[in-house]
Amino acid sequence: MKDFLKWIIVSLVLFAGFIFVLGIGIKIGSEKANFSCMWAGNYRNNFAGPRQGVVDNVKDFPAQSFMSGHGVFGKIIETDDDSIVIKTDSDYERLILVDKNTIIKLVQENVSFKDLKVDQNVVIIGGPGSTGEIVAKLIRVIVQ
Amino acid sequence: MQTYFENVPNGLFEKIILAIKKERDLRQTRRILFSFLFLLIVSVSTIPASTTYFIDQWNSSRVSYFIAEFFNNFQNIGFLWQELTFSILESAPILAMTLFVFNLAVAVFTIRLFLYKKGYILGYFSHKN
Repeated sequence: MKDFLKWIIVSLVLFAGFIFVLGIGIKIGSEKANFSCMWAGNYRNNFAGPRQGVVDNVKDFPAQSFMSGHGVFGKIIETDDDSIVIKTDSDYERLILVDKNTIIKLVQENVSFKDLKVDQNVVIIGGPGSTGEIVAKLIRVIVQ
Repeated sequence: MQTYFENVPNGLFEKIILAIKKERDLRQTRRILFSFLFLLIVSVSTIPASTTYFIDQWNSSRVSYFIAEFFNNFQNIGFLWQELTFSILESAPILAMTLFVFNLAVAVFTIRLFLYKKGYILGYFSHKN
């Protein structure tokens, strides 16, 4: 009886763990898919490109290329008044919006938006915007 | 009462039982040995590939930058924790990590099997010789 109860408890804990991990996977997957969909659909507006965006249908978007809307690493290829465009390792352009709350750091020092230059490598932490951009909360310039 | 074993010489019954037990032990040892060899071959042949794959995926995912940011921004953790957590989870190479950890588990299990059953495994070879 004691052993039987033990196995029930172990099974329940394992099942709860499985459901928890599955839930995280679903949440992360849907976040990435949503962001990739918005990025592809607004490609023309953000970067100028084909009228219908770069992918007609989200089903055509390669699953392994679903992109993160919260963190990205890449090289600055364009700077604007309140945004930068970076190119990631997988050769995708990403539009990064900067606001007054964005922390910009070079090593451990806080720097201003004007200090961001083309060809610098940056790590961006932020949240997905509504049109495929990332609203940056932290930008760190990587010195290599 | 007359039994079938009445005319069996003294000690023969024990000898038969002992021979059966030896044969059963030998069969069990052989099974352990083959399991050990199979796991050893699988883990030794797959660990280099899964390690290389894991390292490649880890480096190309840039997840180490996000983990570093997590530790570098303790003063802003209240402001950034959600984005940092998502950044790490979204960029972590899950498939490569799963393969690597599974391979590592098989390797550790093989070592454990050897340590626990080395008497059987080594005994099998000495018995053969």
